[in-house]
Amino acid sequence: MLEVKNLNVSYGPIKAVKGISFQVNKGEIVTIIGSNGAGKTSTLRSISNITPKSGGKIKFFDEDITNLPSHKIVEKGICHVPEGRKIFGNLTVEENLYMGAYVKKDQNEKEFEENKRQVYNLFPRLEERKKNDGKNLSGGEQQMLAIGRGLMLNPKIMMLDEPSLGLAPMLVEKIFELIERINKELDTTFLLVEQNAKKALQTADRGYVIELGKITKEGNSEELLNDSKLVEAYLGV
Amino acid sequence: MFWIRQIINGITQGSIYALMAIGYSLIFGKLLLVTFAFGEMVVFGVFVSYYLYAIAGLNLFLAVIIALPISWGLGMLVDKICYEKFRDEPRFLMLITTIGFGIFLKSFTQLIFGTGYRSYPNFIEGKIIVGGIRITYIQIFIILTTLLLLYGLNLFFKKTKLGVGIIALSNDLDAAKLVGINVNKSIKFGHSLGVVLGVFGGMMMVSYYNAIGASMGPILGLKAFTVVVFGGITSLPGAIIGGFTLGILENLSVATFGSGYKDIVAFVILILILVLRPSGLLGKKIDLF
Repeated sequence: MLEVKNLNVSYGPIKAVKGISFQVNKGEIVTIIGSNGAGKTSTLRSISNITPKSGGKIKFFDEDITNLPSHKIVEKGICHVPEGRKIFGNLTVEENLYMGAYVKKDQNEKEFEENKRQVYNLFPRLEERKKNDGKNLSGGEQQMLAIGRGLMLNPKIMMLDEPSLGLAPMLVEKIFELIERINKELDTTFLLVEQNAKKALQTADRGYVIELGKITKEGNSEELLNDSKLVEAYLGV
Repeated sequence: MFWIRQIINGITQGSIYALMAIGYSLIFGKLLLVTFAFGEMVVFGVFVSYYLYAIAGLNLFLAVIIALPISWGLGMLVDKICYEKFRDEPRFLMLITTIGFGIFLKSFTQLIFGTGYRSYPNFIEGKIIVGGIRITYIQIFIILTTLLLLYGLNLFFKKTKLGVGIIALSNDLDAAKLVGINVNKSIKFGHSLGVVLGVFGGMMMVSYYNAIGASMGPILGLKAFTVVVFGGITSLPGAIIGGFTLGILENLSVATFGSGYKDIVAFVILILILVLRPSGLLGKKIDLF
């Protein structure tokens, strides 16, 4: 459903992403793993068009979305939960979820409430804190809110940028479990960008390895998990 | 009795300041659009209503109602000229563009409407006396209209997608784009809303004091700035509290020291706040530049 071809991203003279191509099929969980600065975040940001591309093509369900403005891309059902969560700190949990449904203009009150119910069922902790400002939530709660806010869109695909970053190990487990659950229950496709390669590959169906802006390996998660070189480089064994 | 009357005068004046300050705070604090043309835009908008009333001979209320959409358009124009191209640039560029546009707009206003002061009529004439205290209808009109608008604005920023979205984008621009907010459109809307609030406040002010002049812009802009700094630039409730505080303090000082000292109050407050509590009463620290 999502096809990225020969994507290039530059910051001035520095090339962050050097012609990468990959695709995500409907219903899959695909992960892009790589170390800090490999170009993972730039890739996602340029798909959403909040960072300009210097070349390449993005197709979503065979429609060219390369040059659409960000809000139009969101309207297509592409949800991007950015690195560092970026929830709205001055808005309450409820208001954050309300913003998640921003582009759903023809949604009535009942559908909105149902969607919210769904998010609260997945993250009961958010319901307990619904009147709290986003900035007063803990890191784990903020990550839940960021994902919950994304789900309000009923996205066709969710792109998560380092959802495990800065979370306690127990919470990391929980977030990955939830990703699998959302994938199964809501049939949401995932593109997962992670430094935590092991966890990501254990959750994903397929993976790409990105190094210095280039894809150096791709394959099924088991293949990659059993790749001895990769294990040495990223899985910390 | 004398002091109660002064306080009522102060509340009236404060309502006007609060309204203008909310407009200013929306533009400066929420949308982070540095503006030094606010007062000039307000005066221009008020003059349009004066022109429609005094020269074109329209009914005063009709003149006001027509002048407000024109002010909205002025807001769009200023965004186009001063801000749109510079959204991703350092903010001091906006400082330059708005200072420049402010000078242009002030001269333009003088050119069309003249340099002298004109007399602007009261929206409503008359007064009532309650328990020996004289309250004019226009005071009641100003206070009630302001309260009504504050209520409406509160609903707008709490309950509508567009309004909550403006708070959201002031919080995090990237995240706002990623939930699908058309930030360019929302910023334009917010800016024009701020201008119209300022213009409407300005109309009530000149109607209350019966005088309007093209050179009033800078002092109005500075007063709005002071109120907003006092309340905390990023805080809309702060702008309201700041507005009423300044209005009441000004009137009490006029009653004590005479009307020549009126404008001193605002700027003494400005200096004290900047020295003692730069983030204002309810504000938080922001990096503007």
